[in-house]
Amino acid sequence: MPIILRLLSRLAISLALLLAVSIAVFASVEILPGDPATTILGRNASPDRVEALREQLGLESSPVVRYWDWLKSMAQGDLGLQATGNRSVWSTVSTPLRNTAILAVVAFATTSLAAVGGGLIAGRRPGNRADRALSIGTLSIVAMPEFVIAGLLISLFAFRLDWVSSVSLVPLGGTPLDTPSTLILPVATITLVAGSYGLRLVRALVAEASSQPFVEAARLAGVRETTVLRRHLLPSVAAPTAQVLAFSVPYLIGGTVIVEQVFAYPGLGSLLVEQIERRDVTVVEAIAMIMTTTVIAGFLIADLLGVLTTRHTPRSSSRPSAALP
Amino acid sequence: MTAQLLRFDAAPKLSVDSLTIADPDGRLILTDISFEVAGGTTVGIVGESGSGKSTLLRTMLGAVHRDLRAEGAVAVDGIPILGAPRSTVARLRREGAAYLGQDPPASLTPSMRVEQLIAERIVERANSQAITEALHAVQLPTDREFRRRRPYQLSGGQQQRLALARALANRSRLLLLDEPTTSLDVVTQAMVLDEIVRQQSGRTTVIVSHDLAVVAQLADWLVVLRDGEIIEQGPFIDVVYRPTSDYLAEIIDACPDLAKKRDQRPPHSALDGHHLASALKVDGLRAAYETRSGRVVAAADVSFDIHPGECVALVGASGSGKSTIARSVIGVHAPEAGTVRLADKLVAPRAADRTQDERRRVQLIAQDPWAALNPRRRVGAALARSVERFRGVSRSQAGKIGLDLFEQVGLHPDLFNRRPDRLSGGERQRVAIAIALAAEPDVLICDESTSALDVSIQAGVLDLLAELQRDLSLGVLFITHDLGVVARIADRVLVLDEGKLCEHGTLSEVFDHPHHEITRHLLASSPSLSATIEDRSPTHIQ
Repeated sequence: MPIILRLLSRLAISLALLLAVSIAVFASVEILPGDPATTILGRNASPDRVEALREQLGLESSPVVRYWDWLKSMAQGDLGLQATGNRSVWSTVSTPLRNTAILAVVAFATTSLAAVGGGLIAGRRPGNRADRALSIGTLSIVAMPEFVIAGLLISLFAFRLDWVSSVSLVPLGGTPLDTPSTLILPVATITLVAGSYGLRLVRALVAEASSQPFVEAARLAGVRETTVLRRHLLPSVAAPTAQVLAFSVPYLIGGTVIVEQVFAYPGLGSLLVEQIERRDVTVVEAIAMIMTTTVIAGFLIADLLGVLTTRHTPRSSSRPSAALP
Repeated sequence: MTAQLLRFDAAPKLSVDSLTIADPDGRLILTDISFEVAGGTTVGIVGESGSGKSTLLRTMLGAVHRDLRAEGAVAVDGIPILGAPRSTVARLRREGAAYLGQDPPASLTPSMRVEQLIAERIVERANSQAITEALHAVQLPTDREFRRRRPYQLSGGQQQRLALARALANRSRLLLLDEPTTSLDVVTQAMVLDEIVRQQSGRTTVIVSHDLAVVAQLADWLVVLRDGEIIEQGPFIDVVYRPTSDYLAEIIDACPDLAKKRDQRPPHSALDGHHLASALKVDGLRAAYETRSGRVVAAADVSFDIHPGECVALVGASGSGKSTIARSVIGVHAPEAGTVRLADKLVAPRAADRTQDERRRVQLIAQDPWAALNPRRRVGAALARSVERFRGVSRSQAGKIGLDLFEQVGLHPDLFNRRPDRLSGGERQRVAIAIALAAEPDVLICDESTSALDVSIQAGVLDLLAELQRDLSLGVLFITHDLGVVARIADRVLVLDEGKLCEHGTLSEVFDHPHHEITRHLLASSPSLSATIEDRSPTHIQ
């Protein structure tokens, strides 16, 4: 298949997936038992007020019509009005979204660096000292709950060493970038957790690739180790590595609830918890769709990178690796 | 004294002195190895897999696995390599030596372009001129378009040449070869060997192989290795003419050789005094398969038959369609036209539509017994299961029959309860044969069944097949590219070229009076130990 068709087909699949997920999100919030208006106003609210809210939420029309309207406005970037109160959803979501985006971008960079760099160091000579140390280290981190890691970091760097503050206070109207030190502990926690997962997966890919005959041949040809890794080994693991890194996106964009709570970081995770407690369906739907879109986009980018980097390797990688004599 | 110069202006002398290598458990991989290679000469190291020959060659590149303990000395032009500082080893690999391992195309990084692959190995400035020279030296195109290609855009032969060009691009005077032609078909092998012979002059060469016929074309000095010890060494011709060890004599005898044809037997219709029905008859077979680059016609109107007790060899270069014909006969590839008859009875094209009895009659033995055996199952259990299925006997009965079959294929009963990874390549192939025999077939199809084996092991498996063929009146279709093997086992020969049978006759008809150009080409490409030796020492016999 020509490369452009392969890219387009991945794009089409992603769009179809997004549509399917949007139905699930809409259904789970709106069609599940319970009337949103009653849920919001409480059991003892007067029928008039419930009626008024139902009108406002458009609950009188059929679910299909409502889904279609919702999808149309979503596609146009209009997130609508909050179910509770008259603010627009966007004004509620925008600041936490920006804060989470900043945290996610920085943490994604450090996570990728840790996963790929550590994976290369550990996997290039399976079983050597660096490999064993990294494998044990990452396993202990993976085995620990996030809040324990966050707690350890706080007690060490905030209380004992007093290098950074234990909470990420973002000044009103400012961004976390105004005080970059607020990002340090959240980013460190996320990097340790997501980076350890990533490192273990990348390590396995690198270890397998380093027994490929052309990597061995490059070493026996006296090619410098850094060049061997960069030029001979990395291209053959680039596609699966992109997938591994894409797996960290759901965590970065939505799974950081605990990290945000521990550090009181004003992001999307914290907002989601708050709005679920308040039963604000429109905000919850909007957040869910933002997260979903980001995650699907992450995998789409990984897929596209995979297609682009593997176009030179039509041979399957399942060629039996030559065992050392 | 830092950073010794490892660029040799003249072919360097290589010396190995009392080299002993042991694994962490103290088991010796190499024991007290000593030999010298004079500058500009070639030494061939011959031994079967596991004899330590690859370990020995890698030691000359300073590549000893970190778990192994090495003692003794390896030196290139007096510069010690074993135990040398990392910088010396790196310089040797980068500047001093050219190394080519098994399956040379696999050494080409798929994401790199031709010019990058070459430039990386050039010691001085890797300019366009230098790349042109490196490509030109192995008769590859040097134009810009070619240089921008990646390995998968080259033909198989070009990949072989490029791998050699990459190894030699540092203009090294020391050439180290580890089984560079194993797993190649004879035509490609002949091309690669020709190229190596051209590159040999002005270089010191070490070649490691299990195949004496290959080494014979290159080596001045022969070292015979077994279980990590040197059994015998000396000038090639002297050693091969008067082997002092039984082991070398055995290897020489095991070498497939065109010139050593089996005794011609009487035609089969005369064998029992009456006309025999054919065990397998294929008529007008047409089959094709799809690849990335398009449709390949594997069989265009192919017809042949095999009588009981007869071995028919199907010969052709890689990609000529041999395997697809085999797959069509056993019914796992759907042919476009043609019929298959087993014992004169027409059978369905698909195995799934054949009866158990029809499927029983024809059995396949694949090239790679690894892929054919379930690594998690004990081989005896796998064998007993086949016996149970095909012969409809009880489980305990099947176990007994399984053990008999084990004995019949020359396997020790102790191996019955092992898993495939605890068997050698030859043993695994014998298990595969035993499993095929469990079905009590009329016809065995051997698809390159011995190509992956060392010559000495191969000889044993070929003898076994010949014996079964005689004792059980088996018809055998033996698919191979190795005419030396054909000479040893076949009664009749079919030569396939691009899906067409271009030649067909008895062994001596085809070998002594080939009609078709392809046949002549295949015959000319096949290494023959005896012919090479005769060529090299016309005076020796007197």
